Amino acid sequence: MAKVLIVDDSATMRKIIMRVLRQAELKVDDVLEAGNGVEGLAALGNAPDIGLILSDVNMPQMNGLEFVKKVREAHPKEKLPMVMITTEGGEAMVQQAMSNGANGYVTKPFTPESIRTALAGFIG
Amino acid sequence: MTQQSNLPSREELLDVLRESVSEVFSSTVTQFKQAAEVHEESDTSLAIADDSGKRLTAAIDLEAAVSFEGEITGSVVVRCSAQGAMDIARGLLMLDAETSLAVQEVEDALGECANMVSGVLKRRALDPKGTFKLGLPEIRHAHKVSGERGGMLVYQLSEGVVSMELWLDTPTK
Repeated sequence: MAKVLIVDDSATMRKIIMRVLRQAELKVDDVLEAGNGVEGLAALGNAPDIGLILSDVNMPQMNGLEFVKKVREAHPKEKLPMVMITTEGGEAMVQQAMSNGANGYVTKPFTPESIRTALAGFIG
Repeated sequence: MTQQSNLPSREELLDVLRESVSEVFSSTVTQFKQAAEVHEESDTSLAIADDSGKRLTAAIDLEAAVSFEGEITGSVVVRCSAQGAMDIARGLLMLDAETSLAVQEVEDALGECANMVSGVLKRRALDPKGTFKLGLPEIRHAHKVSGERGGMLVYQLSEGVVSMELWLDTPTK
């Protein structure tokens, strides 16, 4: 079972992701929320047992691309998987996210099946 | 060939906007049907008719806009009646018609709807390589939008009405 951190500036999207995680029947025992990368880093500092981060890209204060880069300064991708969940699925964004340290990405709108497929290798 | 000649035409953009709305609504709102006829009665009022000729007038109360910036600049603007905004919020959050929602929840859901439609439009038509920049959703009470409207698609939802609009700052073909 994993503790998951969801980072998205939309409270609506955070609720949708939580619901889809339940529908996808993934092994999640706790979910934490943050509204941007700055809050995400604070949440990670307060809960070092987080096992998976799902992050939006386009957010105020600190976007998802900067956030993943900051997280990777202390948490290697083999130890803490990060999956970007974003409307911005263009080639350049995906390349930058992966080179900054993301483990994968899902484009919005998504289905429980696409979330299950993207996350199965990390939290089964 | 210049980069300018690779830009989609206004008609192509509108077709992709229709596909984008369909993709987002198919996985969110339970009922949506594009209006066969649309008449703008004022900046904040629409009259629509469906295939059977049934007419409905709706006040446009709320809008969410997401700007895009690249070879073409403009915005995707989602304008809707109060009931249309509730339909979208309940659809996204999978809530039944009796569940009440706070204003902030409705506004946030409308912004996320505009964000997803803009994202699909960006990926499919504007910017497959991902060099365009999308803005954050901006929520505002309905007002006259400035610029040149590249097209609008109006939908009747369960209870309300929503207009999906493309506003352009730079001309297309």
